[in-house]
Amino acid sequence: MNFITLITMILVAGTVWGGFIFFLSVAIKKEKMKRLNE
Amino acid sequence: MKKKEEYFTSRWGLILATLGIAVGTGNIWRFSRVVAQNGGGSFLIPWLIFLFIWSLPLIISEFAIGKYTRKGPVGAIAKIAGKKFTWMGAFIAFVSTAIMFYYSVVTGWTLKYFVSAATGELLSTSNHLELWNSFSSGFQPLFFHFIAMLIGSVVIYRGIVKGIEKTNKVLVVTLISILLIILVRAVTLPNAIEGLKYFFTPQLEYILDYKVWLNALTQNAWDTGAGWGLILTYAVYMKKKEDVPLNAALIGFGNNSISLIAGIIIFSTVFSLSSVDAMSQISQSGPANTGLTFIYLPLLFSNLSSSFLVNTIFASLFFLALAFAAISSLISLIELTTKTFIDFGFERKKATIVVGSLGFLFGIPSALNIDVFANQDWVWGVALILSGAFIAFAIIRFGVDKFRIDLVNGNSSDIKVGKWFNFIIKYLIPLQAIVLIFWWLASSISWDSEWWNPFHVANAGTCFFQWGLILLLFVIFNKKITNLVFDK
Repeated sequence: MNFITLITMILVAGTVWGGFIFFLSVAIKKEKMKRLNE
Repeated sequence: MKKKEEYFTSRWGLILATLGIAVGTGNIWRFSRVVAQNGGGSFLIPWLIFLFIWSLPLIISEFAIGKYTRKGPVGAIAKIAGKKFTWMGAFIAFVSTAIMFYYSVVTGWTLKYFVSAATGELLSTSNHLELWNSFSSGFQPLFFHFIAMLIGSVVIYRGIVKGIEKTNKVLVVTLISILLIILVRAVTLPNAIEGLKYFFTPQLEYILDYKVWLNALTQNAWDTGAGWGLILTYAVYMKKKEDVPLNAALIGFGNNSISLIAGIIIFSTVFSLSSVDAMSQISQSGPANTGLTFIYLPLLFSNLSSSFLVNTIFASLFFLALAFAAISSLISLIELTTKTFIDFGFERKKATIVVGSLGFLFGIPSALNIDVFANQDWVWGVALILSGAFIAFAIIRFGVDKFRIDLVNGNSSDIKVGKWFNFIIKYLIPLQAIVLIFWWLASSISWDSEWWNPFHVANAGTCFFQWGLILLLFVIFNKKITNLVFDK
């Protein structure tokens, strides 16, 4: 696999999957905090 | 006595249901075909950019509008843009309803292929084109269209929590699990790396081609469900304390994550198992874009291993995932029309029976004639871009900054949306919509010399004719429609 392919893979998959995992972890954290406050 | 409003019980219920809207057959069969036709990795870069400048802003907008107005698209647009523009909301609702009529037929195809795979029929045959032709030319599509409408209507009949939320929790979680299982098998096939290389390698000549960019924008407009009015409809049932931007981001990124998984599965499998030119097989459309999914993939599944049982299990899992993706999207389409009827004063159960019956009746022509299907797919598929533009227009009328501060960010937001949102809604969404509609309609001149003829399958004429008729009716009866929603 050449360098450009690798960079594209990291850029695209990293942004999309990374973005999803990031926002999912924020949501989980917020839900936990909400439950603690209740 | 006013009936108690139903709401999604939790953030996860709302997220899974909304993911069910976004993840449909477009992620699994259209995405891979369009990637193949547009230079593999070259396509992924604009596809990623348009996630940020088309899909995400519109998903955020729909969540905010639905949560604020608590009405389906007709009443919601009237409340945001003013009652002079109720016809725009009616158009958005009509476009998704027209899509529901033929999307139920697609859902029926996926159900048939799941049954066919699970019973061993699909992999026993050697001529999959003949199997598809004999299925699609008979009355079976009508039967499976009926089953699809029945399943969708039963879910809607049961309401938000017991129907939509509960069903989507099962469908979406199972769908993701199945895709992950197939993903592991696909990437461990011999030569799967060749598929991955093609999928992620950009080619400069494609990146510089404007058509690749327009196709990437189209894919975002069609497969994320942004601008359809569907997310807006589900957002009606989100609790007041529920957040808009974070939930919207989860849907946008979640949808595209699933597209990527589906793409990796298809490209790895095709490059590994194809004995002929893999690219031509992936990029071929076939009748109504069915070539890859219903004709070529079954052939690949029969070569997956030497065990018929193993091949049958993987083929069944794939078509089950496809069927679940289709059903979860069909449910949202039926809900949008049902909510419109509820806003007109119908009770949910009665509205569902009416919508289910109409959906079955108006889907019959598409179930029995592939040309009618292709025509409806073309006309209302392109009209979705207009729906997205209407949503942006409504926000501009409301005041973009006020909309962002009060409705998007509000008091309950976990993350705040910045001023970039204003620029995208004010300038980029309208610009993208104009360019895209013009390009699609102008392109039809190249494949149809009688591009003006309204009775041809896919050209500018048939769009102008059908859109014009509907828009004219809605503009004429704007006041009556407004009264139906607000004077109950």
